[in-house]
Amino acid sequence: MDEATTDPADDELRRRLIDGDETALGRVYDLHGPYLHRIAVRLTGNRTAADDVLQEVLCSLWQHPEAFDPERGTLRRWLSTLAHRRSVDLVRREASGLRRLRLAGADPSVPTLSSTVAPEETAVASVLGAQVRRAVASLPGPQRRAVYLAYFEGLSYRQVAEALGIPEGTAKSRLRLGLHRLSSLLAAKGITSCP
Amino acid sequence: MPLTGSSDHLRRVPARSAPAPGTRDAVLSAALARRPATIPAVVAPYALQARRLDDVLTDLDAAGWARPVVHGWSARRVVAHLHALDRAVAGQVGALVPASPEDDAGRGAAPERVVHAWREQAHALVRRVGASSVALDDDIQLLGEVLPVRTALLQRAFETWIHSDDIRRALDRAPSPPPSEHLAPMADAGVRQLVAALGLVRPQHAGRVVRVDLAGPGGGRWTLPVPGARAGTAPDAALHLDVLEFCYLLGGRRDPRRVAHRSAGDPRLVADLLEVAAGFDRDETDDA
Repeated sequence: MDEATTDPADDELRRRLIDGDETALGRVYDLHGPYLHRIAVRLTGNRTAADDVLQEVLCSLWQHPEAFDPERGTLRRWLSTLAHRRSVDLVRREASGLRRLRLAGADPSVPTLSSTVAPEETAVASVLGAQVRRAVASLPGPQRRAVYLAYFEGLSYRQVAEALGIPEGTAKSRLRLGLHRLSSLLAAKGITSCP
Repeated sequence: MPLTGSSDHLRRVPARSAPAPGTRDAVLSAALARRPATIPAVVAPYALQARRLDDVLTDLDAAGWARPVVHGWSARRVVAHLHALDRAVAGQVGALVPASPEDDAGRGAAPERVVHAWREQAHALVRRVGASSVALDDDIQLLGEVLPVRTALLQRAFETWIHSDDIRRALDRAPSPPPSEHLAPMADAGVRQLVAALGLVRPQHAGRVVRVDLAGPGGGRWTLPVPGARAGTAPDAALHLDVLEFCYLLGGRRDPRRVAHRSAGDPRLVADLLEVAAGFDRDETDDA
């Protein structure tokens, strides 16, 4: 990642995790667990769900520590990206479950997770589909990541900033630049407005 | 396509929250159930220090090998010394690597052979403990002391760290203290051994109560009676110092009269505590 600096402590932790050193996993939890949990609580709105996200993220790191590449960013950022992804997945699963209940005429009680993410994702995927994804993929790295997190992961400015480890103002300007460029790219393909 | 359309609900959630109590244990247990640890906590400090020493040794050139490191010893002799003590532990837990004739050349062996033999032995010790085949609470002997295997492994981690720092210092490199999760058990074992030793070498303090406060990550607070007589409950003396300084003192790398500390209570008890701590370093006598 462009903003990243390699942290020698992350290198050593990764090596220890690969070796199967259980105290390295405890260290990761102590260093990053509470932060990841806060991210998950904000995204899912539910502490129990956040506990599950935290567990899945750390289990994933422990099972595949080699997937973390210290050359591409800090461990904290890598883990927060995983936490974001898993939280959003959880929200989407919950949302689609609620929709199915409604379609079946059920009267679901107060939802424990938000159901507001999936519709945009579905619209983007079905209406614009591959063309938008290709256009997004062609954006410069920093803009691409910001746009991806905001549109496809459904994050706010603040969460995009948090996920990328950049100031909120920088996140806003990247999104603005990214959207501007995206609209030019789509216009060139004859797509002039978004639904 | 609203940018923040999905995040309205997020603002209703408190920004500050902490994982539920017990989450740490649950998360670690779940992870270990999916992939068992090959380096369990009991041997992790030693495994890491051995790894770090190996890294330092890899960088040594001919001049580095010849340079005096500590006590007038070269790095080769430091490694041979660590190897000898590691073997003493390994031999009692069934992890001894047979020495090859080339390694038996005593102090004349080439550095590469000494490092190879030390590394093989270190790996074998970690593997053996990692395979859960060692009774960690069984007593073994190390340098004339009887101590449980788990404490002996911490002692090996501690000494490997102190000597690795000796080599780093000789190379004008910064010291590399253990991470706090490893420093904590080392400091705990150190404080307990120190207070026990005080009862043996300064029997006049038997039954008195000592409080030791070690500041910084990996530190803690201990209130312990000096063994040998029925103890009271209130501390007779309190010693406060940085956890790393305490470890360097135990490792014989600080002067007990000059190490930065604060104290309260009986000054004689404090002075003896510091002096006995500094006497824990056994380098000069163990392989004479």
